Amino acid sequence: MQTQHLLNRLCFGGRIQDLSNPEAAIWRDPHAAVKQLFAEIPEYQPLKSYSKEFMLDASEFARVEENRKVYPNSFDEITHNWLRHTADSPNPIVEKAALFWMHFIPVIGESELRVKPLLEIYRKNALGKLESLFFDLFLNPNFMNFLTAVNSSKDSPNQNLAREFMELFTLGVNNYTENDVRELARCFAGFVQPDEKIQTLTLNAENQDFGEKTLLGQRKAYDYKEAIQWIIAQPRTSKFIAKRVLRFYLTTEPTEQMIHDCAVVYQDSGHEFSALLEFMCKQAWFYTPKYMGNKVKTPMELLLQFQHQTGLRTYGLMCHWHMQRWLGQQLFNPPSVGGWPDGNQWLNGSVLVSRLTLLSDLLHISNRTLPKNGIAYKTHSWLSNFSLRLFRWNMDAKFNEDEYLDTLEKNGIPEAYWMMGSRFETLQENEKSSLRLREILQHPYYQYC
Amino acid sequence: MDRRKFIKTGLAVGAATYAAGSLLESCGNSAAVAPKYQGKRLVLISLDGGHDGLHAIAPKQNDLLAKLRPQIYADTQKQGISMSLAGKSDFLLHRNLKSLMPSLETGEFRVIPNAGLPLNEWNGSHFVSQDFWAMAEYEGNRNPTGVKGTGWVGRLLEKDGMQVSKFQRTAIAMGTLTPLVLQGQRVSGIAWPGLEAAETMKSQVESWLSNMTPIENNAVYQEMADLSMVYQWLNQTSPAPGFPASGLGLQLSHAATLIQQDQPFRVIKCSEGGFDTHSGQLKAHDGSYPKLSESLAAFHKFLKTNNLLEQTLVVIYSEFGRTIYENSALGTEHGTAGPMYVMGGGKALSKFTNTPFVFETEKLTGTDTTDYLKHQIDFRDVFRDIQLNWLGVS
Repeated sequence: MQTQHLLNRLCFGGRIQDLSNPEAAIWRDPHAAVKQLFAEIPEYQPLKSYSKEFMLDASEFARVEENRKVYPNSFDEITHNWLRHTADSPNPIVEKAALFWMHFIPVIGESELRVKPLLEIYRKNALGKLESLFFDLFLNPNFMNFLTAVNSSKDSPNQNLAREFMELFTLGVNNYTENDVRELARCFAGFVQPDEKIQTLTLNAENQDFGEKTLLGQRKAYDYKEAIQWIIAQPRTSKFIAKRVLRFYLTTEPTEQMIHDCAVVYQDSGHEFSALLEFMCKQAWFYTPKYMGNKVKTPMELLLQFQHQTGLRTYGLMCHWHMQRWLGQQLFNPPSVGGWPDGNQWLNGSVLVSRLTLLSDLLHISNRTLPKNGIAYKTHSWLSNFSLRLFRWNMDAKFNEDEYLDTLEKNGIPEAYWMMGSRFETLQENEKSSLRLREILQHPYYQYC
Repeated sequence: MDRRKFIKTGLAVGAATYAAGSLLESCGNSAAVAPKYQGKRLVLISLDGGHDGLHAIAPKQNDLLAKLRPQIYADTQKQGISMSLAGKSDFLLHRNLKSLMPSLETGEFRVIPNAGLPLNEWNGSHFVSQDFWAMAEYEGNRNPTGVKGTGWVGRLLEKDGMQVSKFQRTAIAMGTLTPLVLQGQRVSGIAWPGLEAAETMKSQVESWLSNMTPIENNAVYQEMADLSMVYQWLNQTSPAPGFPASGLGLQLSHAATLIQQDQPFRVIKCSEGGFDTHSGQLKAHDGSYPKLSESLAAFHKFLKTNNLLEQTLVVIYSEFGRTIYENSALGTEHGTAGPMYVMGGGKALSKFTNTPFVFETEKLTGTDTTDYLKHQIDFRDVFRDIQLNWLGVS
């Protein structure tokens, strides 16, 4: 139970091989699992391309190539590669953390050429130091263009990046003055992109402001790196990020104590993200029953947890594109620099309808193509290697819903929820299994993790 | 919706489909019978990102503008079209907004200059300011920053005066999520994701509906039924003609169809992004203004042709205006006050007398050297007035 919760939050649920093996070491106790997961974090490697490998057939490949001509700036292949890689990853702590950063510092992608290095910046720095992440981002043309910070020069510099940097990425709103915004904008002036083909920005001394600036009460001739370091060093920053981390990983309503404890650890570690995560996963409050099974999955969690737990994979490039679109969360296409909503907002309006129907839609159309919009989905080895045990949801018709919800509120998720109803053990036919699976996927419980 | 409520109400759906067996064995679907409505309507259009109202309409001669935004103001003076505001003919309308000129001249499009908040309540964050406009709460009632409350329209949905017959969800937003302005405590407006998105969900939704027993207060059932209902309305006729193929153009053509069909939406919320012009503002507005003004002009024409203008009030606003000064990237920064625009028939607009444009500046703090535009009108008063005297809900 506790390990399941840990896997749901720190990764994308357990993998099919773990879930189908109750004897696996990982289930014994969550602390041992934390230790094992952090010890086995894979070394950073750039993403490989999955586009050809998982193309449905030659005609889809031709269509994608055709699309590429019509939409030369499309970066669907990059996000598809990441989703495929993450679904396959035996230990996706890094990818989940990268997803946190994509939520926390959301950027609208410009093109394949621009998004590729940007995604790698999130992945490479996901568990590392905050400072390195920002230093890399500030030299990335896509990130800097999005915040209109390229070609800003010392005479009346553009304040966009300076404001959002303090409001959204470090201090939080109301923890700086309008004067701080203007002064920080001076520190951030001077970035240029001398060559469109080279995906790294440089500084142009003519546009830089080498004068003294007053930033959060301290006067100094900051350059952009010193300004970033000075702002990161504020305890407010640790607190702000700790809160966002808790909201992303655990609950939309973290307590002040939890935020404080995490912030202290983060600050003391020199803002090392893995230190903060490991600390969080080892706290007793992380396993409080009221937080278990009570977080609305973001669309990416819904999409990835489904693939991770079932061993099923979407086929073809366009499928991931459609799913992101209908679920309301496209990677590198946030609604604004403020990112996507969280928690219950994902259960609002028509998104709820897409969420409840989409995964089952995909199963329904397994092994065939939906001509209307070209979603193609193929399961590999279909249900033969799929065990319904992983959902452990009792679908007994006599199931007492009220009693169940009472127990749930009192004790957290009871063992019964995770246990399989005995009748499913006997299901052999693919048709029946597929029907049950569909019902599980569109059950309200499946909206939570 | 809390988790318990969602699981409980959602569970009923699960059970119904389970009992009915395969989802594929479904037949026709009965759409909810919604009441018709021919009364007053409000269409809200937010220009997201903080629109520079001073670039849309500016005084002909102004020393401070010439000094603080030399390049942008030079462009205004070069290309602007002479127009009058509150009887004074010394203003310039951006050339790419010229489609609005006819309705500006007849008084069916009016400017509420410099709407905003007192400076001590103002906030330079997009998100905080957007929430301020959506909640439209006076300071004493407001939640602390960062805590979401309810939207001003959302709060009305639960009141009797807002309902059409017994129908409660009399507000609809064009978009996949219900925006804060339409979120109430118990009832929220419908979110319409667009025809293409609805098309994909159609078969699933319909089979669910036909397998489900309608259950009162079942959130999932309601979302499905309402979505299906709006889909049928918008799918049965071809889209209202004459709208540009832009985001807002498409949203307004859907709004037009719903109004023409007498559907029971008293408030329709649309939005258009791309106004956060920190750089290259001249180019940005040359791109966005034609689509914006043509969409609004098409909506005006549609309403007028179909005799619907008298009972439709359109209000256009942005979370804040922009700074008077321009930056080195030929853009402007987050500012304070900005204009609201209203469009409608004479009766609707009679309450909005032509307010003279007052160009006054103020500083954020005692030591500050930057001039910000001073607000003339509190937008909360405007919304409050619309609620009481246009929608007639107290």
